[in-house]
Amino acid sequence: MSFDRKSVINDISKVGVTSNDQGLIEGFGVYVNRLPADFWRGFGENIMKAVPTDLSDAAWHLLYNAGHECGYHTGYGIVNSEEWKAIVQPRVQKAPEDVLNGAFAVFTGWGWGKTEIIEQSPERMVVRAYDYYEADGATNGTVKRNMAPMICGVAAAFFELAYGGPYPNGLNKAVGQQVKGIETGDDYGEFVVTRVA
Amino acid sequence: MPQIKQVTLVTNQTFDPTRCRHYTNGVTTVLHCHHYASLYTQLADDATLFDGKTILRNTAENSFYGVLQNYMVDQKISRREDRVAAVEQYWAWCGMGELNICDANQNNGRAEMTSSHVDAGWIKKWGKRDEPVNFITQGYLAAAWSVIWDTPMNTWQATETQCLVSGAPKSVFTIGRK
Repeated sequence: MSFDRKSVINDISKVGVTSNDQGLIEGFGVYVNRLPADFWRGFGENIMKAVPTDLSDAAWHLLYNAGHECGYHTGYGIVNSEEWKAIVQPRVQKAPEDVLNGAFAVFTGWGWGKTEIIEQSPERMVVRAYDYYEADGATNGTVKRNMAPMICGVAAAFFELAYGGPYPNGLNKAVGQQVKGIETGDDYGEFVVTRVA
Repeated sequence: MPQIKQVTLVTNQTFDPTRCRHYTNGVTTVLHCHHYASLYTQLADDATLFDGKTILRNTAENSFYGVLQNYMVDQKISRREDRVAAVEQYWAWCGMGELNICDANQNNGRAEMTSSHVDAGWIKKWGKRDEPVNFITQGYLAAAWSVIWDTPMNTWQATETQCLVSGAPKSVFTIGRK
């Protein structure tokens, strides 16, 4: 039986977060913020517009790295959370494949991007995103290159959590590459993660 | 006569199962963590070649001006003290910390934070540092002053004169016209 992705997305989308009396949200081993998506997207786009051309790849990589480290540490917190145990764990039949499927269902249910894994092995994973906020700037005519470094970085991070060895030593055991983007005219975003030798 | 903050923040949260997006008062909203905020802040801080700190401040001002302005209109909030209360409550709802606007007049102002997502996250990730890091709140306060005083965006600037990340008991921001 295939992983019940739809139910996880539905259930996880209903999980609420609440600030404490200091105005902070703590959960999954991290401090959480809850901000308009266009703030995060806008900063990435504004950085890419400001950076000299010869540094644009480096700037993109720094944005990717933010998603990568966020995904690795928060992802670890997610798969060890009570919410995971209640919602995802009962639907995991085969590890690590279903753990990864569950992680992307959580990713989707939280609104980071409507994603699913279309290929996975210990060496390589391909993720597609059919709707994601990082593509929203395309309507403003500001995007000239694939601009979903957050999804790309988080995809690499989730792969590392599944196949990179014990946390926290799995970071940088894989790299992500965005090969398609809604923001550049494709029907979906596509992200290829490969293990680093 | 002390000001009485009467407004209570209204947040209408919905999830669109087709697009898999969360909306708060109609605005696409996402959860992220302190690693993400810290690394974006570090990127802005390191980008001296093209003034990344100003880019981060201005991006925040632009984004939050729309959110706050629409909120005041939708909720029909016109009293200055109620706008101030909404600004404070929204920042806490976002998980960005406890913001206290001590003085909001039409020429300048002062705000304090006794807890801050950006500062606490930076300390948790890398430890303390001497220079301020809360460029996001600086931009938020610039947006807030424009909304509180019905002035255009890019009228105000907030400067962080004391910061939690350096070990101070609270962050202090002064706000003035550009």
